[in-house]
Amino acid sequence: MFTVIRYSLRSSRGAIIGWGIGLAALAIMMGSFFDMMVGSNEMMDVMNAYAVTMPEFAEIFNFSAMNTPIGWLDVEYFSFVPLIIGLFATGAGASLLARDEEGGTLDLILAHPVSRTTLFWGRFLTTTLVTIILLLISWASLLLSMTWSENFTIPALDLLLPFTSLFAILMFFMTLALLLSMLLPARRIANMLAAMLLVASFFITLMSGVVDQLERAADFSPLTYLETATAIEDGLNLTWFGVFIAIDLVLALISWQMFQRRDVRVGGEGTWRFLKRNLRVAGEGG
Amino acid sequence: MNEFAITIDGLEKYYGSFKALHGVDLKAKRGEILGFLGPNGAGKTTTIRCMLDLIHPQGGTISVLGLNPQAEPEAIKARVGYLPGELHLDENMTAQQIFRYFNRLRGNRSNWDYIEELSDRLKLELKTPIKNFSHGNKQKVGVVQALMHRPELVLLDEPTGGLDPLMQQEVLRMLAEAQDNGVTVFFSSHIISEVQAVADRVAVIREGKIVEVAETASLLHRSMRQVRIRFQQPTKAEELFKLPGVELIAKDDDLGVLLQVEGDMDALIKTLAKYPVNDFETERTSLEEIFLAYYEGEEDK
Repeated sequence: MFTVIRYSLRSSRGAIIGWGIGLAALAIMMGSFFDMMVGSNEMMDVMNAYAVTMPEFAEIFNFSAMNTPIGWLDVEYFSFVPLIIGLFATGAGASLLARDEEGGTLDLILAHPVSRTTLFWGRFLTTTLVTIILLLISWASLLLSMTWSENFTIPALDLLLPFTSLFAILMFFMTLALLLSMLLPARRIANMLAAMLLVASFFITLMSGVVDQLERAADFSPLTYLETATAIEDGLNLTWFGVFIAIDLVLALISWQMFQRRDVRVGGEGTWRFLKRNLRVAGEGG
Repeated sequence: MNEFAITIDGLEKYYGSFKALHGVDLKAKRGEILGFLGPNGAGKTTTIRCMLDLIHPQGGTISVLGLNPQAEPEAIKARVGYLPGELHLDENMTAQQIFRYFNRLRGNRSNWDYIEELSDRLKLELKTPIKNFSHGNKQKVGVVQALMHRPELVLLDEPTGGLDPLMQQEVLRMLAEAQDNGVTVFFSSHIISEVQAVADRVAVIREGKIVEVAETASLLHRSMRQVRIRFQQPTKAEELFKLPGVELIAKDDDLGVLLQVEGDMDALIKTLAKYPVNDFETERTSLEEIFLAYYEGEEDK
């Protein structure tokens, strides 16, 4: 297991560096922008004008709370960062094993005395670890931006709570993409489907506050259960966090079982016949 | 200890509705080199991948080194070296990094001096990234990783593919040396000359069925010969064509004939002694022609 994790981490170095730099830069800008905004009367006037002329728009983005550090972070950071890191999560989940399978390298790895279980959970733990690292980079970068900001201050441990909530949701999309990669003939189709669900979830959750028809749909949208400002102010809702972690584990366990029974392809993408066979095998329970 | 390193009985494998293996029966003795011949799509790779539990058969049984691949895959893989037919390696790693990785997956069982010795013999550059390697150099990495832990059994799917003739010979020498050290070598190929050169026995697979398993020497011995006879003058040697095992292939006026002879040549030579012969050439059928005969014979059905 250690060798699998070590080499999987090695091949994830590029992702950690690339995504880490991007996410860190985004977070570091938050403090400076907050100082600029609260120091600018014109900006506050614009926000107030939005609240009067476009109340629905102002409500979606919660403009009224933007003059506080928590409100600012909620609106300007957590409104879109989950979508960005979510795209990383779907890509990582779909690639967990299917990338090596389509690349033809899985065949030779599995010809070594490493069990499918070890390989699966080794890779899964690595991807989980990479996701945690990226979230920690974002968290640390926000803390860094607070060191030179005059107004942008949130206690470090409190700031960790929205990232904890985000972790559970990211893992949902990661494990969903993983499961789809076990079911569908191509990694890119699995990634695309999971990413589409992520984007749909993002817009449903965002718009549900002002579009009544979306309220019901928002109950089924994972991002609805992302706690950001509420987690900092009132603490993390452990029930929802636990529910998501449980769902993540179930999806991972199903994927693991499918991988156990899977015929490893020699390389390239599969066909839809591959999907039919996978479904039949899953239905037969082995 | 079981006499056989590999025992396969009635192996069946479907890909969707396509039946790739139709009840393969095959045994490889311990310490032998068994050549596994067949055209593309015959089922060679599928059979090998079933032995390593990379794919799951729908019927039949397999025993590799006395173990069931589906029940104890890791125990088998620890004792087996494998070279896939379509070799893909992590392009960002060097050969050295790949060997270290695979060695760690095997619990550091390989001796690094031996890895360097194998690499030197194949003139393999260890510190060059795989992405800068030619197909032939990648194949050398595949050969070394299959042999580096001194396995009891090696399963090689087209081991010399992409190698130049000198390296092909070196790989065949390595296999012969492995056999001298008691290793069982099971290798598939469609290059018949290399099978003929090193294999003790040959199994021929066609459309998912084993159509022949025999010792290479006996297969060649019982093969047909082609005999070309040139007479000194026009000769009606009809009695030659009526001899058992003799078949007329071509006739050039009455001066020359081309015959195919199965088995013993004694009767033909004695009968031919009555005629004035100018030239007599005989040529044994190669394994390639035997193989093609199996293939064409089945196609005619």
